[in-house]
Amino acid sequence: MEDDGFLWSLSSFFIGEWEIPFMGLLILGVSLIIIFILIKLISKILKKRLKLKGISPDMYNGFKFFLKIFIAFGLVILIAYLLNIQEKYIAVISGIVGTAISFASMKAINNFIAGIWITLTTPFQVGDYVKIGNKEGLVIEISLNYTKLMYQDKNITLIPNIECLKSNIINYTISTTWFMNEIYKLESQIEGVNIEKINNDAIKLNFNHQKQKLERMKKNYAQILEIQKTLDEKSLKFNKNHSKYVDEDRIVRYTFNIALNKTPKRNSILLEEICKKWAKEFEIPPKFITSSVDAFIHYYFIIITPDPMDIIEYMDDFYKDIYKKLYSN
Amino acid sequence: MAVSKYLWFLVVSALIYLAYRVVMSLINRILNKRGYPVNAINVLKLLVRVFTIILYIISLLVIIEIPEEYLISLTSISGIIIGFAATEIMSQIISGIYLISTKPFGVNDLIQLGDTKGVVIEIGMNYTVVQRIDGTLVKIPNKKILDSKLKNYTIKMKDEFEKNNINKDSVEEIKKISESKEKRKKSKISSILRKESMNNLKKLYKDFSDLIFEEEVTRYTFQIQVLLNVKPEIIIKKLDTICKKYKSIYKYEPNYSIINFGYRATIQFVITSPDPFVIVDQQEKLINDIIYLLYQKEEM
Repeated sequence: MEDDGFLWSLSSFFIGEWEIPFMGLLILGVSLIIIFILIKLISKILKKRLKLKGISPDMYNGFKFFLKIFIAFGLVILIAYLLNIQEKYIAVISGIVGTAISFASMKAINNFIAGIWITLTTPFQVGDYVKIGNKEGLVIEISLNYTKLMYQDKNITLIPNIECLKSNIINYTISTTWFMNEIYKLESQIEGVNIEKINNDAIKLNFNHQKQKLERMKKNYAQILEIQKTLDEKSLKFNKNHSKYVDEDRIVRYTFNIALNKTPKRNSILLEEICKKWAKEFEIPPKFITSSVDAFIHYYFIIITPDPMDIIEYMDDFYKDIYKKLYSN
Repeated sequence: MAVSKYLWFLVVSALIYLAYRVVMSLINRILNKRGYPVNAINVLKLLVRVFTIILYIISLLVIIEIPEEYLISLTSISGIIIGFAATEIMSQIISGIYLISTKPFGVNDLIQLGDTKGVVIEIGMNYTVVQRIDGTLVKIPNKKILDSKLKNYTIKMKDEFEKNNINKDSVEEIKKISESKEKRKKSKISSILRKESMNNLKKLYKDFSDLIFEEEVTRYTFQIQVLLNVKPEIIIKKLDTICKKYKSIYKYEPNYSIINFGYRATIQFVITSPDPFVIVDQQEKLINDIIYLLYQKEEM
């Protein structure tokens, strides 16, 4: 660098082996002042411009933040160049700073990449009713950093995408076209196969599994077909106000557990009454099934509805009804 | 020399821009036709954009010829960042591969993972899909499976024989004996087996001689609690009738044993069936029957 011009050859002083040019120091000082003035100027102009255009102050702050970081990087390079710092020191310092920065930004970038991963693999979409870990609600928005969920109490919560990636996901929303496709696939596999002709045991077992799977699907989701019909009929009239999340392709099959006291007969009679009462709101009467016995009898309810907002709107009333019916007296 | 370099840069950047346009239009056409969700398409576009920007930067670096030290430090920083950022997803994928290769469970097995019980529907790269007994599909991240307790109710009979020190030849012999129309099959079978292993198998399965023909058997256990104010003889009688009733459905008779006493008696049911789906389907009916039998008197 000494050969660059007469500026460098004017004079310089040494600290050990390190040669610091006077001129470099001078230029650094001047450029620092200029940069400072420039930052002030640019931020003032930006503020005015953005205010005129009606852009929110968040945007301005973000821009300023990035500008500062950019300038800091520029300054580091400038100092290294002007003060004639040896290249090996640059490599060492940048290595240290680089690892520090990368460790620090690990979480943020992890979250970002998890966001990309989730949007590409689509375990859930906007408008689905889901349970992520132990948080359940309606998916309102999927951004690259957060997933927005609306809880049953109508609070909106941001869940970091990295948490979505790590925890169990239950998607209560079923795509009807996917479901019909699956049934069609299974039917086409089973059709035209004669079981008696198959000699291989493994293939036979597999075939039987497929057949049972088809039956189970038809049985488990018979209501879906029913609701599809009612939806089709309703779309002509549209007498109930549905939210914007209703979609032809989507049906919510929501399940939840309750534990009740003894005497199963009384329980089942009362619960059936409740189910009949709620048929209007959910298009199809909810179902309940006993799941286990210990100190209480555990039931799980299956609610099928085309509108995910129904669950957010009516679940508290539903619980209230069960409470009133079973424990009055 | 210098001028030709800049010319090259112009040509390269034009090419990059062209390729970018083509890819974008392809994404728009193909993915929109197939009905992919909007945000997935947006993310793909973003990835393409980032990739083209990286290409531009690389071509610029080649033109400007910055010193190697800067290049090394820049690439090391970005490399470390990308490496750390991808840890989550890479570990997810690697645990998926690990699951597929070690096979702690297969598709159509009845398993318990943490506190979710159900049948495995699909083992994928990111998630394993389990159908719970109430029919809900649960997606469990593969990494979580490696961390949590796993109980596989579906047993391969081969492994079971190996555990009880029964070699292949004796299995074949038992098969021959039980297929033939001789009398006193059971005593002959027990003469082949060692005493310990015979006792062991008898504890696990009631009728062992039929089970030997199965390849896979699901042995599902669940617990119920019974109040102690009813006479034990009555309850045992009732449970026995239920077990007999369900023999034809499960193919093997369900079994039960009392495992704990306290404020209530805890009874463990053991259901053996060649097909896990039968167990899942019948679970609701079985529990209903048990409840109604147990609390008949209180209703009156």
